[in-house]
Amino acid sequence: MKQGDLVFQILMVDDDEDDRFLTQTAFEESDLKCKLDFVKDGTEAIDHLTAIFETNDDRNPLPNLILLDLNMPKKNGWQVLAEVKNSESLRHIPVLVFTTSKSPEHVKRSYDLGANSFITKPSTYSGLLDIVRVIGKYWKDVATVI
Amino acid sequence: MSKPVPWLLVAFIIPMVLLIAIGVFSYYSNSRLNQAFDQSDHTQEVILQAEKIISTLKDIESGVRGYIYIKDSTFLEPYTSGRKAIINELRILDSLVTPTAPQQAGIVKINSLAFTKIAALDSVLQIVKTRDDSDSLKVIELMRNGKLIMDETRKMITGLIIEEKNLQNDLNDTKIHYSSRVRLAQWVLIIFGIIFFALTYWRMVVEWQQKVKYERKLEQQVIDLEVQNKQLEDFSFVLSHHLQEPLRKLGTFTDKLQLNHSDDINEEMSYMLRRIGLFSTQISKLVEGIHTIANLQKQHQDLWKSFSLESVFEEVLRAYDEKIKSKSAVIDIDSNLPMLKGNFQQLVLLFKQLLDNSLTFVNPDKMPYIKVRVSQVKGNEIAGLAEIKQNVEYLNISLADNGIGFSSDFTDKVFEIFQKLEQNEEDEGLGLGLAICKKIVLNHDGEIVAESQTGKGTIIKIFIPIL
Repeated sequence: MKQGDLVFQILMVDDDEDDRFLTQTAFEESDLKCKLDFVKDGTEAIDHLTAIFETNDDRNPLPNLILLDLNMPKKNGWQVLAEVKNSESLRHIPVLVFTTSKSPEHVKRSYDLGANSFITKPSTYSGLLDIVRVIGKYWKDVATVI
Repeated sequence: MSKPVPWLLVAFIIPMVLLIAIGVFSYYSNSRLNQAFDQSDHTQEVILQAEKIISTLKDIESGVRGYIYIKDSTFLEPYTSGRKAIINELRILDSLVTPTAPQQAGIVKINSLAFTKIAALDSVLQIVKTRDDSDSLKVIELMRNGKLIMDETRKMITGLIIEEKNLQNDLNDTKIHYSSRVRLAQWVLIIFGIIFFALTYWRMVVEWQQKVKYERKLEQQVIDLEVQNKQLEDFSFVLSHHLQEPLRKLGTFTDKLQLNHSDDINEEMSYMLRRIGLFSTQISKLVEGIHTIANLQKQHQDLWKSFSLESVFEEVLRAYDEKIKSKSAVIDIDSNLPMLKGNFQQLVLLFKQLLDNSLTFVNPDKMPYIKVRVSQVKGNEIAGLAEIKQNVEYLNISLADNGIGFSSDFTDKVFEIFQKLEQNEEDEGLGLGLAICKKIVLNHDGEIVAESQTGKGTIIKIFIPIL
């Protein structure tokens, strides 16, 4: 994000209320200039993204980054991942899989479907703070995204 | 079917002996029958020959008689030809009867009588031809004498024929006797053959049915086992995944409470929060360990890859580089590491666990020293190995450390799940490491044993079959 006046937008797709709350507080506490939006499941995520793309309103742009949980009702993370990465208009958005699992099969399947990163949710709050800072530092400041 | 060899042996020997017996009996009877037929033919020949001689003699005599009455030399024709033939016929008869046979004496007599008779007829002819006087007393005398000789000859030949006929009757009895025995042998053979084939067929059907039954049972068991395995795998996944989420949150919230509200909590509360955090981490690790064990499936041997033990240790050392340095440990690995076949990931995990144990339970007074040695042993050199594996060649990989060790009473117990010998709950030992090792070794059809002495160190020996 080098455009200055625009805020770095992150969409978090997670059905777990606690995880949404913890991630939100972690982002707030780590003092990152990010705007965090939440959707509660895969279907909602796809609807949300499609709606933004179709209205094509500059005040309401597509997110710069997606944090995606895998184990969700209705549409799971892989289905969302596959749809995003198969969509002409959405596939440029980096998708970070953010889940409880650390099973090698899950990691492989995610990268196969085009995930840009796979992060296992930490079991301490300080661990979560570290991860949020690294995500912010890397995707907001180091890497260039659209 | 517990002892298939004796059963098969009996099933082979009994019919074999019976077949040989029937064969010998049948061959003997048959050759006796043939002999009787030959002998019978022979007696028939003797009879015919004897009858021929009588008839020839009659021809000769009637020829001579005719000539005496009519004086026509055409009557002499049967005399001339008969005289020529009779010598040959007598010789044939003689040759038909063996010199030792009881009939031989009669044959000699017949021979001499026939010649005497012919000589008498010759004399009659001589007189009739030269003197032309058929009424001569000499002729009458000779003819009378000739009749007596003829009667004697006839009697002798009839006697011979009767004797031969008696012999023929005896031979007929023999023929009947032996032909009935040949028939008996044939019947026995047919009946025995039918019974034997029926028994063999029945036995084959029974065996085949049993085989099919066993196969079905085995198939069913394999299917059941697969289903159970799948269920267990699913269960372990669900268990670990669904337990892991609340545990992680428990840890995170406890941590957050400590971090964000440190001003509001006193010493005691802080202690308790630390304990809660520690336990949630421990449960989380346990669940992860159980999941790991449950997921350590035995891979089919066809999927095993060949790789060097060196590559396994390279991977292990890379992962533990930091811990080795922090503990200033010396790792002494055999310079000559062989190739082996198996699941690479599982073997890496195995040696990671073992190295982790050695680096965790170190002797505080000594510099940690871990020695890895590899040799080759035969199954029968490994204590307590199943008999079926006695001849298998094994790779013996031993890992010796100079750590705190444990009492030799526990050498078997350490491989059981959740067996913790250290009571220190702060350390990382959860009692899963060696259970994981055991499972991996069993997945490779191998053996794992521990030797240890408190304070002196531990040796873990792993035996992996060489394929």
